[in-house]
Amino acid sequence: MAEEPRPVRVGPPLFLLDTHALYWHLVGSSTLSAAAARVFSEAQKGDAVLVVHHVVLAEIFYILQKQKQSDLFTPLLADLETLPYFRVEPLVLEDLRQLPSYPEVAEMHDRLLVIAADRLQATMITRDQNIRKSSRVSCLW
Amino acid sequence: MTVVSLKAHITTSGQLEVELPYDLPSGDARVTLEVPLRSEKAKARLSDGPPYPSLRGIWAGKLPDADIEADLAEMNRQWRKSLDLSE
Repeated sequence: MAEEPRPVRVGPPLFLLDTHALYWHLVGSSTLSAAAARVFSEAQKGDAVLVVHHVVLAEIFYILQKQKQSDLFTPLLADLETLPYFRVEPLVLEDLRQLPSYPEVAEMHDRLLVIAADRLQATMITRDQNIRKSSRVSCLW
Repeated sequence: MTVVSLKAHITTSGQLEVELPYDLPSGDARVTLEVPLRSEKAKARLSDGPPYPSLRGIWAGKLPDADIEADLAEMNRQWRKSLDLSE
């Protein structure tokens, strides 16, 4: 049976942030690549939307907890909810159904991010070589 | 052309769910959405228009400028161990 055509997205392009990309942006790190930094700037201008997945937020919370800075988490959520260029993306059942179809992404959190990026037709901002090897999504670093 | 007012739902994946009355003719239609803004704070930030505030460096000096991948890998190792799954 022929595959159903994907709906055409309208509006600014979507970029799904991997955890390290968001973290390095928040700490102002020069480790964030120039291309990734440009996407953040484009988003600020309203020319891109940055997708922050619940999995990424959970990982950010883990880092904050480890660094004894958990108090920073709630203000971050408030910023992500109110700044119009961020979109907080939940884990949805539709993505869980896709888990068996992405065996090439071994790490479970990474797989959930790749599935969400594929569903949203978003480019992933990631340095992770395992994700970048997946042909399912376009990546930028 | 006539205007029909309906309730709809926007899903978290950005799709519009709407139940149409059975007697609408098939064919193209123009859709206009009325959506609530998320909060007063969001309204204020939107009304400013772009460029919007940046979050770059808001955690500078509070958290290390470090490679967090090792920490996340350690977290995954701990979870796998607690679930008694093989590496």
